[in-house]
Amino acid sequence: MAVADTHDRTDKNPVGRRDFFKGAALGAAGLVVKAPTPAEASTVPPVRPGALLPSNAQVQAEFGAVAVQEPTAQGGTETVARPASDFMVDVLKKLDLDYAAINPGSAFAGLHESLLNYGNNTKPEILTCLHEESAMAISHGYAKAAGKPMLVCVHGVVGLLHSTMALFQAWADRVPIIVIVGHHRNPAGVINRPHSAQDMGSLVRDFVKFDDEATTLERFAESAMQAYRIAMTPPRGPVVLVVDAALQESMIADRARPRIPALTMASPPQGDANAVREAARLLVNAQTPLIQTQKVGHTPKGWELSVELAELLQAPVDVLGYASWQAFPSWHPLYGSGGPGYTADVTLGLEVVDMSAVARTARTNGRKTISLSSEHLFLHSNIHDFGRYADVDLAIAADAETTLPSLIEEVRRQMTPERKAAAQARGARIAAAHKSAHLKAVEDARHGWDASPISVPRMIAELGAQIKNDDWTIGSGHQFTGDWQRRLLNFDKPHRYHGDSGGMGIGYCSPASVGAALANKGRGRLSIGIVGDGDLNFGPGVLWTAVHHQIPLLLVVHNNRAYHAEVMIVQRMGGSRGRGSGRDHIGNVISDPNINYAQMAKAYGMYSEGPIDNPNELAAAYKRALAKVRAGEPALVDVVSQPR
Amino acid sequence: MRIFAIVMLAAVVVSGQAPPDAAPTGDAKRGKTLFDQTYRCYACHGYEGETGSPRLVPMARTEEAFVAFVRKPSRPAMPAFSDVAVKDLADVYAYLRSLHPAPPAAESIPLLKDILQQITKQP
Repeated sequence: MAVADTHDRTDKNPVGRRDFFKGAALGAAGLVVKAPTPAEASTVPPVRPGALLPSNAQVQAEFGAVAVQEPTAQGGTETVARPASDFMVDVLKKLDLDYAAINPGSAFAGLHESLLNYGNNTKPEILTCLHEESAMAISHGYAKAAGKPMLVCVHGVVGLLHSTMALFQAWADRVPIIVIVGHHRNPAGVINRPHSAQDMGSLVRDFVKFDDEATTLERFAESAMQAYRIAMTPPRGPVVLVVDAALQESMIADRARPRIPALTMASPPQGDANAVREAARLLVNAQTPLIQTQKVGHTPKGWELSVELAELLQAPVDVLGYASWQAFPSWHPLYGSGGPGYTADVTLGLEVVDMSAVARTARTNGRKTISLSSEHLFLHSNIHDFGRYADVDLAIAADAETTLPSLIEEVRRQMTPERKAAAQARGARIAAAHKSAHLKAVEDARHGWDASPISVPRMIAELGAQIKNDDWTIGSGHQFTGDWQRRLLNFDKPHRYHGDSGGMGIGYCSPASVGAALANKGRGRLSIGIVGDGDLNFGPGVLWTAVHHQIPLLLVVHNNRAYHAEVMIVQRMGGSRGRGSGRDHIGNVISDPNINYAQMAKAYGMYSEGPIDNPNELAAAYKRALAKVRAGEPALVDVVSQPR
Repeated sequence: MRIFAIVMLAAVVVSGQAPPDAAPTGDAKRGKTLFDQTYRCYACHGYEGETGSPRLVPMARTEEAFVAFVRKPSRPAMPAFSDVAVKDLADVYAYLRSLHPAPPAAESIPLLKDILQQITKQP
């Protein structure tokens, strides 16, 4: 490896140099601020290294001939050598990253130190996480709430492998994350040999959108810009930059500093005009149109456009599944699938991953289906998150949010007075059906209202009453509270609910709620997370991260003391084999002993309430915990609950 | 007796289903243990039979029909408990029949009443 040889020694980019010195000055300013007062200096002994620093010869022996460069003097002027990782910080600062979630590792120690002492621990600010999976899932939840990615740094091989589950979920949810993997590419010692790989990116290549291992600083700068642009271009996704530890720790002279390219974002793909016109024709002339949404609305604009299209067509909007994204207000008159007897003759899917079933049924019955989705642009996937082939009538490979304005315009253009009148009549019928079904669904909450353990609707309704005057947001979602959140809480704004993991794996909700709350910090929003006990047990260390970084968040633990879906599945399996009784709790139930999540929170320094199994005590517990959250702290309420 | 009749009438009105006439033959206390801890019926139906499809309270089936259904259900979503003793299922049935047959009206619960009013006001 030859770092020095590949530096652009002729680079004279004045902007880049100014940034470098500005950054250096900023770093120096940070040091000045943190410098001890004379009194402190007299009593505090100077920090000394715990061991002798290695000689240059030793470092070269371990990392290779160019790992450390002595400062060089050229042209009679002495120049100051600086860590290459300082330059990497300059590059990262171009990406407008607010946070870097890390669990520390020596493979990115060079970058870690530069983020702190050169970058002054701002933009990005380090978020200390107790597990790489937590770091990755926090960044997933953050990106959905903030609309932009976070940086995550992991240690090569081991840290990366720890993070893989959450990385996969971000991939499946089409959420951007910028991941830097520190790599001991040429380790001399025994400890770091297992942390080196011939092809580090291959460990996660199945579920990242892009990966690259930069062997020079110039390539690092280019790859960082490339990675960011790829991550943010629909369909979005996580990206990985592998960075040699030795490259981070190498020293460069200022004049050898490579150029930092400008970050140019790609305009998102927009649907072909003819295809959009045909989609509008089908929708305008439909008797019973239906809109299905999934991952549309990665900005508030997408939500507004979904509403505008639905109201223009007076078409019901079916937010599929457990709402990986909530792209439509849950109490809107057009929310749902149109009511009893409503059979769609034209179905428009907006960023729906798998329309195979609806397309198959439609083909059989002479109905039409349209898929407007960036999923059609997908390049690769090993894991079957991409869905089955759907023989829709019209497939538009484009970002739905970007294409909706032209589709709306075309619908408006083609809408005749007759079709408009028909749409209004249809809308009135749908609204009446929706209201009737919604009232019935809320009335169902009375069943088990006073039960102990506490019923799921009671758990949510009591919460709703306490936050009704706040601008609240629920940072993550799952299927284990059924549809009660959307029934009882009015998701009337795009940020009300950030949905599930995308990959349907347990362990997302707790860290994602912390990440979303971090994005909401300072925005005047009250952050809520309703998480399962099973979920929290996958990474309770996020409680500490929330406390340590003073992230205001109310975490409600839906503590039903089991993986209840699995209880039911094993019951069904045993029943089908004629032996289904009495043992299905084994391996599925989290009791004996019961886990006290309120005590767990206290151990991490978090305010907590519970465990609460008396429904009449719930309101007061929420009130006390929310007082802490509104004051800027995280808090947890442990609710002993019914299964679902 | 008159109060019981009124309660049962209310249950019929609320549920739309007539409760069976015959008294259960099983042991309700033992049935609760079986429901909660042995067969874990609560996983789908809630600890008070309030969830799942159908809800178990108020119970619409006769004891005989209940036992037959649980041992050989006609719905694929319901696991078959074909190897469970009839006595156990009779006890579970007795427990379900012992539960309050009629939940409170939604309008009588202030939190739900408030939500219902909000929905009613929606356009």
